[in-house]
Amino acid sequence: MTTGPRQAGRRRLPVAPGWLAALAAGAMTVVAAGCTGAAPSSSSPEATPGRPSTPIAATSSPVTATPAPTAPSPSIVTSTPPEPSPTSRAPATPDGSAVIPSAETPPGFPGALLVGGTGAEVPGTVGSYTWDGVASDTPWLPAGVLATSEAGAGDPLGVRVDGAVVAGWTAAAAPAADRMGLAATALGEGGGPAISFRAPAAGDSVVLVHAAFVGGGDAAWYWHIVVR
Amino acid sequence: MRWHVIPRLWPLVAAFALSAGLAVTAVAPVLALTPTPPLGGTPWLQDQRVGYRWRTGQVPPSWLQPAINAAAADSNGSRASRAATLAYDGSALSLISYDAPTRCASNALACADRSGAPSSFTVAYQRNGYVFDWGTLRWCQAYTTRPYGCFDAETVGLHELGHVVDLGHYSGSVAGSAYLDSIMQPVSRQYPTTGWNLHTYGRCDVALLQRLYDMQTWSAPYSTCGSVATVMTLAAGTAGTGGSRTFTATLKVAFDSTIGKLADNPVTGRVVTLQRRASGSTTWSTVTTMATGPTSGSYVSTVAVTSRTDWRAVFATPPSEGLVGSTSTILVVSPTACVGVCASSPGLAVGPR
Repeated sequence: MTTGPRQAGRRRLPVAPGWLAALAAGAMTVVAAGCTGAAPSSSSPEATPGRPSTPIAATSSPVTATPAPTAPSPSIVTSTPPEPSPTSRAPATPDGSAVIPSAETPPGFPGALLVGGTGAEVPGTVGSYTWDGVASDTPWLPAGVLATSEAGAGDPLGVRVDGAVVAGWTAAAAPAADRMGLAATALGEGGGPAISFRAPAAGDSVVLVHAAFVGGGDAAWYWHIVVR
Repeated sequence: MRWHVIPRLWPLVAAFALSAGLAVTAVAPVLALTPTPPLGGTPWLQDQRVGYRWRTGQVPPSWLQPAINAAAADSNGSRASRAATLAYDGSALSLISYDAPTRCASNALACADRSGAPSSFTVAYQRNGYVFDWGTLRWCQAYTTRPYGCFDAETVGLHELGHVVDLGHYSGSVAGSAYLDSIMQPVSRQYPTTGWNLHTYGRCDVALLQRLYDMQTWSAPYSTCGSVATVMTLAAGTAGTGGSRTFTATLKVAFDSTIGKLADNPVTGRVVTLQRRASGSTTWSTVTTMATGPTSGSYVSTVAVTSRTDWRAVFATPPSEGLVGSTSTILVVSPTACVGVCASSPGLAVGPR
């Protein structure tokens, strides 16, 4: 009886499958920063997994043993305070909409415009994404850092993605006061390139649209929507 | 090879993965789970050992290093596939850094770059206390009492290492409660949101890793995220003493261009039953549970055949894994005549119905 892993010579490709190589074609032009074999760090190589049991110094020292966090150390001793409010809000334009803060996405990265509501096209703020072999991750983005659109409850909304063909998408919304998206609910989903859904209930909401692209890659875009 | 048909189906995979999302809410219908989509690029070799070390000048602090190493162990321990394994190696090409990440978007708390695969990767953590426009970054491990809204560095580390082994973002559960199906959510989860401290790949992550890198053994369970069809065949050997015959069933994964390395896998260690019915009858009865055979995916039983009967082998869909059951075509075994293509057999005739 043979129950082990696949035997040599049986149909398996030992190296990159062509389709994955093709997906990576663009990515391979990107040189991984720092992958040049620099001298090893002098830090302890195999730290034992586990959590610290004492206050931790917020430095990058590899083997900091002295806890004693001092101001402005982020070390705290209670878990009651909520996460602080955004340190800045997107600046408002004369018409009241916000300016999109740059997320410094890679060259050629797709953009997304929310269409509907008042008829204006409002660019989305990028959160997490994967693109050309790179993945970048963010939490739920709060309303204060997002461009604002207005809509009536249940109004049809659409998102136009430029620079990529959407293979599938989902949309969700959470009240603007819900800074972590804890109460996010679905607005819609689809498997084709067209992204459309209905505006959430009246009030301030953050809308998230996550789209996967034909050929690979994905992005999450956020908007602040004021629903009448 | 069959791999080449997969890219054309990637949009479908991605679409299904996305459409599976939001399924637990009242708005969207409940849809079948689908594997996490691939990030893309060159995969690692099967079971490739990939080392990493701390980037010189951006060494993670002592409270972070154990979490990163734990995340690597989490990846190795929950891959349930032959995906690459990850471990600290002071001479490795791959680098993990802390502070001032160079490949992250400006609002990212962490990022990964796998474009150097299968040689190297990079992962970067933003520093604790960094002030984003969305708030101040707090890694839970930096505190003796975790603050509200902190991020578990081990969970985030496993997510980034998931990207390293070619997992993209799963969007099936942004607004639902099914986010335990994947650690590759496009929204990094904060304490105390559900899933903030997941330390294993979800079943939909495993499903993709199995498709990309194959199973660790032929008896290992297939992820319950998605379904994998099987094919059963049955053959009967020559008659032995007293009319006994040895039936040999073979169970394997069906060929499917969307399941990558899983196609045609032998399936060992499952429950396969041998069933019989009298010719002309519509009622099957189980004769025996077949024993494991001499080759991968084979099952054997020796039984006495005293009259013309129909035979088949049955693999029922198991409740605890993603394989779909299958039944062989019917063999007609008769001591006096044969139906269809007859096997060369003294005394008894065998043929498919």
